[in-house]
Amino acid sequence: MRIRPLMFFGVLSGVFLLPTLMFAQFQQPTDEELKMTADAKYPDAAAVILYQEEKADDTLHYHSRYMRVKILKESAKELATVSVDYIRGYNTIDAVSGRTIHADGTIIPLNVKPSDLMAVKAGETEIRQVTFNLPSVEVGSILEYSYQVRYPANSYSSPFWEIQGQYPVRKAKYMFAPFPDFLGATAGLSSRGMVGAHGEELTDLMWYPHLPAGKSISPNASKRIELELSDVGPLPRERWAPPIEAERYEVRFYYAPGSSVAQYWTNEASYWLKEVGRFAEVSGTIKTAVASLVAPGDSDLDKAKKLYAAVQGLENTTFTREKSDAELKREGLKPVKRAEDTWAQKSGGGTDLALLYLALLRGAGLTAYPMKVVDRDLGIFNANYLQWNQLNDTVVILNTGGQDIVLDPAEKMCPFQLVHWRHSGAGGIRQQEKGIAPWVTPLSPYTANTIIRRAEVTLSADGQVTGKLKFTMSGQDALYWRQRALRVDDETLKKDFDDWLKTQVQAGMEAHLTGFSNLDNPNADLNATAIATGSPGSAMGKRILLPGSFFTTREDNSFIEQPNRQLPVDMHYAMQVKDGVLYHLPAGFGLETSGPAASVPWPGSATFVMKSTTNGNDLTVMTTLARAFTILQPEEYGQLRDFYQKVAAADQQQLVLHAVDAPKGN
Amino acid sequence: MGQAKGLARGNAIRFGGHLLRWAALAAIVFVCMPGFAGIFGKAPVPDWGMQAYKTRTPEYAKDSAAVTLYDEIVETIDSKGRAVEREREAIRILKPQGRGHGCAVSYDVDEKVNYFRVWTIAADEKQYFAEDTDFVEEGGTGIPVMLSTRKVKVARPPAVDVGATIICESEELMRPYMQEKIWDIQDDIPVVFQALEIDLPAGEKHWQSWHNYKAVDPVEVAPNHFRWEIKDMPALDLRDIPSHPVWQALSARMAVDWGDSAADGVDSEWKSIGQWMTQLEADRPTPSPEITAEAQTLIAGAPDFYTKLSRITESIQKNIRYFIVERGIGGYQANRAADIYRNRYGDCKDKTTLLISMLQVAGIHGYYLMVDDRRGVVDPQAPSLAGNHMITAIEIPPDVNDPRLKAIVTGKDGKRYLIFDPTNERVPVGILPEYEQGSYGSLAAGDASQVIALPVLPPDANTNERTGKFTLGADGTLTGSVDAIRSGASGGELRNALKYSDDKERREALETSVAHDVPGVVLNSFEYVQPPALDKPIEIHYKLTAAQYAHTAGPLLLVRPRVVGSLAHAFDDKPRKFAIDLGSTGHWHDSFDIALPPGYVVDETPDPVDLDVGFATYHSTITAKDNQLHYERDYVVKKVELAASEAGVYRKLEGTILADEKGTAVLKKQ
Repeated sequence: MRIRPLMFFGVLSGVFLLPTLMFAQFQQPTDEELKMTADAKYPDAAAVILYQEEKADDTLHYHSRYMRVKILKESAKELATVSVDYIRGYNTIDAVSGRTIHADGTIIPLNVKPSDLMAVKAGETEIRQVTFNLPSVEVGSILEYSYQVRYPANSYSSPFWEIQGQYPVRKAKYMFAPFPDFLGATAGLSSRGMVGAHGEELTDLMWYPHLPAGKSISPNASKRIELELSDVGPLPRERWAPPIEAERYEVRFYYAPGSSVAQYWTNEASYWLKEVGRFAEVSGTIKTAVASLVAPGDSDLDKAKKLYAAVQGLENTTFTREKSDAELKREGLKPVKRAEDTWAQKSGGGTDLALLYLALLRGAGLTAYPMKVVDRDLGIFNANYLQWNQLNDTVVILNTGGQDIVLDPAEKMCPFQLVHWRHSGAGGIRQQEKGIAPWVTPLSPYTANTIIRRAEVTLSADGQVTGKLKFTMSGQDALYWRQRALRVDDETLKKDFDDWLKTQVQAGMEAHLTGFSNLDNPNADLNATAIATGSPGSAMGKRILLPGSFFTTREDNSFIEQPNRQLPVDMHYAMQVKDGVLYHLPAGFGLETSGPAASVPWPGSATFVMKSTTNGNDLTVMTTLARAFTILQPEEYGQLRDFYQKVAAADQQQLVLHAVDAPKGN
Repeated sequence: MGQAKGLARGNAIRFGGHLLRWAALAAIVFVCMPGFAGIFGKAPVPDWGMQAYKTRTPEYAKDSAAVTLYDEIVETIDSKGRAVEREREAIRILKPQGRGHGCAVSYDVDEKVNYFRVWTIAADEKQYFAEDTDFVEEGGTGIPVMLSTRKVKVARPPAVDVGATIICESEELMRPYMQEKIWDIQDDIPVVFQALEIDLPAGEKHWQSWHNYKAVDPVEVAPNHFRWEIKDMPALDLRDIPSHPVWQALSARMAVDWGDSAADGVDSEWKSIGQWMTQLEADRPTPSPEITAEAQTLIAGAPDFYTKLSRITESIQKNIRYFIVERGIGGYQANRAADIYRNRYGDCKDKTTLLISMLQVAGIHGYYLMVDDRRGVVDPQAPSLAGNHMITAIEIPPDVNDPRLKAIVTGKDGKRYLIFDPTNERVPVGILPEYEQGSYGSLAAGDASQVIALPVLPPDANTNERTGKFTLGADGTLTGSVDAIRSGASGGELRNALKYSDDKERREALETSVAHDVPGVVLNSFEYVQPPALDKPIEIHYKLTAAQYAHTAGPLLLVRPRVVGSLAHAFDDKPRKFAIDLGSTGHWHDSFDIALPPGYVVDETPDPVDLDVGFATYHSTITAKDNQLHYERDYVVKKVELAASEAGVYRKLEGTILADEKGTAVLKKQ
C-alpha cells in the first residue's frame, strides 16, 4: 500500500511544547472478522478495511495512521507492503508497529526494522520513504499497523482525508486538531505568520468536504474536527469516466484569508488580474506590433484572426522546451515579465502566449478577457474548494458583436475559434465587463470535430483488396496530429500514424501513410493519404464476402460489454465520422444481395446511417456516425448502450458478391 | 584471499544514458554507471569533449532521434580486483523526441561516485555547464514490489535542443565484489565510436566474450592495459517488427572478467560463475527447525517423488508473497531461508532458497539456476552475469521416471535436472513457464556448475481445448455455451490473471475477449473452475447471446462458424532480419456446433485447411449435417522460435489461420 503524503506542511513562527501523545492500541479481532471470507455487500472486494483511523494534531505536532485490513483475495496481499513518504530534515516517521493475525488467531508481530530510502532528491530537498512489510500475510489474514509522522513544533498541517479508495471501509475515524485560533471566533484574527502566495495573511482553516449523504464536519467544543464513517463503498472503476477526484469521498483542509466563497474568488481573481494587467499591459511595443499586423479597415474578427495567427507563429516552449535561466543569460535575454518581452523574444510558454494575445487584442482596441480554467483531463472546477491552484491553464475570451468567443492561443496549432477539448466544458474564473465570475467554457459541437474517411479500392477475384485511402480531419483529431508532429520527427510521426491506421481498417488489411498535407496549417483541414492492401473478407468458390464497413467504428466498444454504469460518461469531445468507400468489383462478380444499410437514430444525442449504391461494377458504401454528446449522466447510460449495440450490429453487415456466371446454390 | 575477494564477480549492465531503459532496474541485477554532480564548479568543455563534438553526424544516423558520437569507458582495477570506472560520453540530439537522451549515473551502497560532470554544446555552439540544480536523484522506490538501495542521478542539462551535443564525464568506485564488466555496445541510437579499457594490475588475467557481435581483438596500450574499439554501431530499433525476440536478446554486448572471475574458455567461465554463486548462497538455504517441521509435514505420506515434490513447490508458490529486497550485494545474494519462511515474502532468489531448503529436508538436491525471463538474453557462448531471474534446478534421482516431470534436462555431469520456477505462482512443478523455455541458465552446483539449456516442452504440455454448442436464430441471434479446458503453462497464465482480478474484472476481461470475436456479445453467465492442485487443468464455462451474429443478405444468412478464439498473429510482408518469437509451443483445439434456424440450409462453406509447415500444423474443416454446422480446427506449435529465414513459411501459416478464422458459411432460405 503506497501512502501518499497526507498533508502539506508549513512553518509557523511560534514554538510549542511537545505533550505526551496518545497512540492507537491494537484491537482484539472479533470471531466474525477472523472467520470472514468475503464481504456480503461487496463480494468482489479483495480486501476490506475493517478500521481506519487518521489523526493530525498540530498542537502535539504529529500525524498518525492506524489500519486494520482483512485480506480476502490473493491480489490484496500487496497491502502488506506499507510505504510512507516524508521530507528529510522536516518530518520523522516514528512508532511504526504492526502485526499479522491469521484466520486462526495466530499473531505474527512485525519485527523487521522498516527501511528508510531516498525517493527523490533535487537540490536540498529530499523526499524519503519508509517502507515495511507485514509478515506472513495470507488470504484470511488481518493486517494491523500504525505509525506516526512527526513534525516540528512550529508547523501546521493541511490534512487530506482520502476516504474512498479501492477497498470498502467498514469503519473509519478521522480527527484533526488544528491550532485553535484558526477556528471559530478567533479565526480571522491571527495568521501565526502564515501568508499566502500574494502576501495575504491566511487566518482561517477551511475545508472542502465531499462526504456520503447525511455526513458533515465542523469543529467540536474542543476545537477539533472529527468524522466517523461506516460502510463506505469502494470507488467505482469505469472507462471513459471524468477525473475520479470529482467522484471520490474526501476532505481537503487548507488555509485561507478568512473570506466567503464569493469573496475568496473575488480576492484571488483581483490578484490574478493585477498580474495579468501588468503582464499584458498594452505598451508601446505591443501597439507597434498590432499596427504591423492589422489594417485599420479590418473587421474586429479579422483583427483577432490576424493577431491569433501571429501568436501561433511564435515558438511555444510548452511544445519544445523552456529555456533555463542559464540559457537566457547566455543568450543575453532577460526573464519574461511582460507580454512585450514574449513578443520581443518570439518565444514563450503557453500561458505567456495566451496573455500576449490578450495584450494584442486589447492593443487593437478589442474587448477581451482572460479566463483561468481547469484542465478537464485532470479535474473538475469546484468553486466551493477555495484553492486557486485547481485552475491550470489560461484561455482568452474575445467579445465581439455582443458574443463571447473562447480562444486557445496557448495550444500550438489550435485553429482560431477552436479550443483544445481539455479546455472546453471547463470551469474556471473569467474576467468580464464588470469584475469576475465563475464560468464554464462551451463544449464544442460535433460538427467542429470531423473525420472524413475515404477509400477507393479494387477487389480481385480472390478477395484481395488494394487501394488508396484519404483522411480529412478537422477539430480535435487534426489538432492531435499537428501537436504530435511538433514533438517527434517525420519518420516517427509516420510510424505513429501507421499505428493509428491499424485501428481504422478491418483485420486482414494493412495501411501505410503516404503523406500529409496541411500538417503545418491549422486553418485548413488536415489531410492524410495512405495505401491499403489485404484481405478484409473471405473468398469461397463462387462468392466473396466482405465486411460491410471497410473502416472500423472509431468508438469504444466497452459500452456494449458494460451493462450498468455508476459514473458519468465523459467522451472528451463530440465528433462525427463520415466514411465513403468505393469498391471496384472484379470482372464477372456482382452483388448477390442488396448492399449494407442501416439507420440507428438516437435523437438529440447520436445517429448512425449506412447506405450503399451500385453503379455498374462499382459499389459505394457511405456511413456517418455522429455523436453530439460529450458528457452523459449514468441515468442515460441505457440509451447510450442500446445505441452502440445497434451500431455494432449494423457495422457487422457483410457484402456478398457472387460470380455472375456461376450457378447459384448447391 | 579474503571473503570479499572470494565473492568477487562481474559488474552489471551499463545504461547507455537512455532514460527509458531504467525500467529494467526492476531486474535482480542492478546496473551501475558513474556519478556525482558538478562539484568542481564551472569548467569548460574538456578537450576530449570538444574533439567528440567535432564528429560529424554520419549519414546512417540521420533518421535517429539522437546519436552517441563518443563513448569511452575505462576500468582501472586495483590489486584487490575492485574497479574504478570512468566514462566519457558525447550524445548529439537529432530529433525533437531525442531530447530524452542524456546521461545518468547509478550507484548503490557499496559504491561511491567520485564526480559526474555534464556540459551542453548547443546547436549555435554556445557552451553550458550543468549546475547542481540541473541534477535530480531518484531512488528505487517507484516499484511497489521492490525495496532497493540503488539510486540514479539524472542530469537535465540546459539547452538540450535539436542539434545540441551533451558531454558527460563521470567516475565511480565500483562494488568490491564485482569482477566483471558488461559492455553494452548497442543502443537504440547509433554509436559512432566507443571504446572500453581494462587496466589490470600486473599479472592479473582477463577473459572476454561477445554476444551478437564478432569478437574484437584488444590493443594492449600499456602493460596489462587493454583497449577495445568499435566504430559505427547501428541502432537496434524493433518498432513495427512483429513477433521479435526481446531487445536485450538481440542487442550486441561484451563481457570482460578479471581476477578470480577470469577463466579460460566458455565452459570454464560458466563454471566460474556457478562456483561464485554457489559460494555466495552457500549457507542461505540452511533449514531452520520450523522449515524442517513444515517440510516434513508436507511430505508425510507422499506416495511418490512427484507428490513429495509438488507438495513442497505448491506450498512455496502459494504462501510466499513476491517482494524484492535489494541492499547492495542483496541484488545477487538471497536472504536466509529461516527469515524468508518466517516473513512469508521474498524475491526469486529467496523463493529458490526456501525451496532448496525444504528439498534438503526431503532428501532432494536443489540448485540455484540464474536465468533471464526473456528468452535469448543468456547466451551459452557468452558467459556473464547478464540475467534477471533465479529459478531452481532439482536433481531427479535415476529411478524416477514420472511423465508429469516434463521440464527435465540432462547436464554435462550426466545428472538429470528438473527445471522449475518457484516465483511463477501458477505453473506447476514438472513444466516450465513458456517465456523461459528455450533459454539458457547458469547452474550453481559447485564444481558441477555449468550452463544449461532450458527445455522446450512438447505441445501437449500447453493445451487449450474449446467446445461450443450454439443455436442460430433466423434473425441472426446466436445463443449457446462455450466450455474450455486449459492446462500446462496456458492454464498457469490464466490462473495468474485470475489471482489478480475480482469477479467484475474477470467478467470484463472475458467479455472483452469474446467481444473481439463476437461484437455486441452479452455473457449470460460465466464460471472459472480452478482445482487447488496446480497440475490440474483450469476450466472456463460461459453462456452467451449475440444479437445479429449472423447477417441477413436477401435470402442468405451469413454466419462465421469459428465463433470464438483468435489464434492468428499479425505479421507483415517486409524482409525479415530477426528471429521470430512464437511465444510458446502448444496445442489448441476448437470444436463448435451451430444448430441452424429452421428453413435454412447450407449453400456454401469455405474449403477445408490442411497445412503442415514443420514447426506447426493447422487443420480446419467446416461441415454441415442434419441442420448442424460443425467447425473443427486443430493447431499445434512445436517450436518457440524460428530463424528469420523461415519468415515466408510463418507468413503463410499466419495468413492461412487468419483467412480460416474469417471464413463464413452461406446459409440459404429454402
